[in-house]
Amino acid sequence: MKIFAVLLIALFTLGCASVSRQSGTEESLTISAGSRQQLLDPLQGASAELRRAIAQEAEKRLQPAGQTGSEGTAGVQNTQTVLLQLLLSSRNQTLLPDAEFEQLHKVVSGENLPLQQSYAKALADYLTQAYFGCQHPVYAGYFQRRYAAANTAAPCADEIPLTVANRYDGAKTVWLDPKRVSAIHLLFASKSSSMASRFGHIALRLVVCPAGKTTPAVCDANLFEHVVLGFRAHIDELSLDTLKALNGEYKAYLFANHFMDVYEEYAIGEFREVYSLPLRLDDAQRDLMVRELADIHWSYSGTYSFFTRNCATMTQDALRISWPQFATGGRTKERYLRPDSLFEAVKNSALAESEKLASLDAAEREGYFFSSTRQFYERALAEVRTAMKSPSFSDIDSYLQIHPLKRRQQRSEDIAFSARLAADKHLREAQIMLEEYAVLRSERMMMIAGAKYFEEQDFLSRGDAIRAQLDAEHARVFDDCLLTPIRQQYAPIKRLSGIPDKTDIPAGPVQGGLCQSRQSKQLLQEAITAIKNAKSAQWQNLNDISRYWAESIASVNLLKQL
Amino acid sequence: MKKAALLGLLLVLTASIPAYADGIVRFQCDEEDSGTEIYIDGKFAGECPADVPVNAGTVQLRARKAVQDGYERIFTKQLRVVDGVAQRVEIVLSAPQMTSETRLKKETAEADKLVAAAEAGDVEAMKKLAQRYAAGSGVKKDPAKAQSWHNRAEAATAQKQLRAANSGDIKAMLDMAARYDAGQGVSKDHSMAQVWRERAETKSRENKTQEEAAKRAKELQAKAQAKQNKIDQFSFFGNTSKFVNGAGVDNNNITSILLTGVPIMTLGFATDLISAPTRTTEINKLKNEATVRPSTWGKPDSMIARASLQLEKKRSTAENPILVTAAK
Repeated sequence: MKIFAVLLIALFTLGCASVSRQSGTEESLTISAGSRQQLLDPLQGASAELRRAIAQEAEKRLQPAGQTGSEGTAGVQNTQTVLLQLLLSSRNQTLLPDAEFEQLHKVVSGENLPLQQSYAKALADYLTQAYFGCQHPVYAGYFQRRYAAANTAAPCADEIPLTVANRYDGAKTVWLDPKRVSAIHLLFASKSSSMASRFGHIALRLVVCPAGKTTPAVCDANLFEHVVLGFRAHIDELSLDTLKALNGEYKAYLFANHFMDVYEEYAIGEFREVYSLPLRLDDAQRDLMVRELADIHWSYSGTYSFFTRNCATMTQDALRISWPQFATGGRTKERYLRPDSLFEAVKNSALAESEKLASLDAAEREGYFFSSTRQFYERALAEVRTAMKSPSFSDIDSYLQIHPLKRRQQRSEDIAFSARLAADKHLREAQIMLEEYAVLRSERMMMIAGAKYFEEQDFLSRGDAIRAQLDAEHARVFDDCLLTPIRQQYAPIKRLSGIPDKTDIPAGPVQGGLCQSRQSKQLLQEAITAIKNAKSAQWQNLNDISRYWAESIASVNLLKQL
Repeated sequence: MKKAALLGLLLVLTASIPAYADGIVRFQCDEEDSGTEIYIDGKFAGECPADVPVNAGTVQLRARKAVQDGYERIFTKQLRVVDGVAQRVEIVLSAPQMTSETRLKKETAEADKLVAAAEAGDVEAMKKLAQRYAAGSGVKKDPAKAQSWHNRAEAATAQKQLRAANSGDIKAMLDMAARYDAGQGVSKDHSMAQVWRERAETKSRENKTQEEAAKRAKELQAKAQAKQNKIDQFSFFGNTSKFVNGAGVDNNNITSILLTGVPIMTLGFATDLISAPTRTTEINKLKNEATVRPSTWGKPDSMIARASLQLEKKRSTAENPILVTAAK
């Protein structure tokens, strides 16, 4: 990543300069006449105020006649670097970040990078790099507003990248043309008993149309490609530490997920209701918001606290910088700490199509409301119970409590029920649905059991001893496919400066790509088996649940063959 | 032993006795014992009460009282009669016992039964009959017949053991081997003895193999039963009640799981671990179907149901997905 590298080098060279040190820098930086002219050339389209301010700063550092080759302590050789040095050392208010930039900076980059350095770097890049606006749409918009300075903008690529997590394939980079986003919704998942979700969860949903010619209805129904962007905590360990969560010790990022994964998580996994409220955005606003959210998605790194810096506060901050009407709206300009409060405020404002949620029945048909699936499972269970001769379960939990092999046995022993299953598609679907629920439910528990086993075994600290038990090939897979992902879990997610282009992103999945091959999986399985701790209760638990999961899948497949 | 009724007899030996004897023995008895027969040296001497002349010296006294048909109570004692010395002797009659005639009749009857049974092939009868002929018990002593019945008994036993050996009885095989070695019940034949020993060894090995197989089968059955018990008693939520009860902790873990790589890898690992014949693509397909089915089934006009139909249609027409992954 070129820009990121330049920024790091610049910061390393200059250090985290304070104001007093900047005075010293101002005095030591000298600029040749030629460099001064090069500085001013890109500013043809900028406001007179900006041109004047930079010219004045350059004048102060103008190299005395007859001296050559001493352009500053950093050995400035090109316009961008000279400009960066000049801006870093300037005390001119016109060239310093204002309150608006400070707010933007918090939302886009978080609070980790020093404000003035970020500002100087961004402005220098803005004034000298044609593609800055494509990578940093938020800052580009700000500079345009503040300085009326259009940089020599190159046309942006049609597609922007997003890293979308998928539980089976890991995180993958997907490329999305903002023009294919027909709407942006404020997505709200109703509260759950979890402490983290006691007031619900809020995020943004991109309604992504299929490629090519399409219709709004087709776009709305294209749920499998809709993307949800939501601020969430990065739990950098295998289980949540509530105290750390309350103290804001977890990192926060703007994550991207497939809508259907989010739907499965809430409406099925947690039996929560999901509301999707369309925001009133015109085409330009929507296009810009998608790009700006992508900027935040790649750049932002903040801290997450359940009650003060959470999905609600971060989402409204993002909307506020991207959507002027939101920032100034009667209800939305208020500060909301709770997701449900924020959702209600937007719903009751003129900024959203609240009428879409007037009838939940209609909303469910049109894709603005997704009911909890509990009712459907309970109905399915009741129908199956009625059809069975002597069902041994009374509710969903008692159904899941029976081992899938036993359930299969009970079905096969109930001759009349088996016959009905074969003949009655509706009943069969109900039965399949219950077995599929067992798959989904056990899958969640399997993931928890697996995480607990990894936590218990502490593979990271025992890495050397374990490698000693394996041959070179297995040890390599063990490192690449097990230890590395675990290390990644413990490490903050790598941040980029702005939206990357295709040359910045390697092909293939972001995580674990090399480990997806069948051979790697086989080697990893052998390695794990070789070092397994069969006496571990967690291992036994993982095995039991894994087998439950596999048998449930087998049951689904058998039922489908009826 | 039950004490018989006491027969009090006073034997008085006097010197003033007829010249043809050294003394007179006087038997006096209670009323209930009257009629007890008195024998001196095996000769009947009268019934009590009676005075019996006895010569000096050692005499064999026997008293007998019949109690019912074929049974009697008796007393025997050897007395030394000394001229001029009086003795007082208490005599106790025995419990009722079979008379010798009765015993002979009984033994004869039993022998007749044994003969009948032995003739019918009863080996035990043959053995007993051989013993009787050897001892003259119930039959006239006849060593030749005793040997004959012994031989027949051995031959019959050998036949019985041969059948058992042929049916796989290892002990019978070893018995047959011993018989052939000794010529007991069969003609002496060491090669046949060796044959039966080898058969016994072979059968023993077979039995051992079968026992081990049975043991393995039993163990497998026990394992299967244990598995069945585990299935019957399966507690899906046993260790994860918090998850079911919505206590939240695990839900939070789920949240973290959805965000990061390790649990994703965990799932893949668990999938591989159980060697289930399922692959990622199949699981993805199943999961997609599982995700839409509740709404498709329960609310067919919902957007989820429409989206599912649209996806199916798209797949069937092989349209390209719009979100092109970098991997492609």
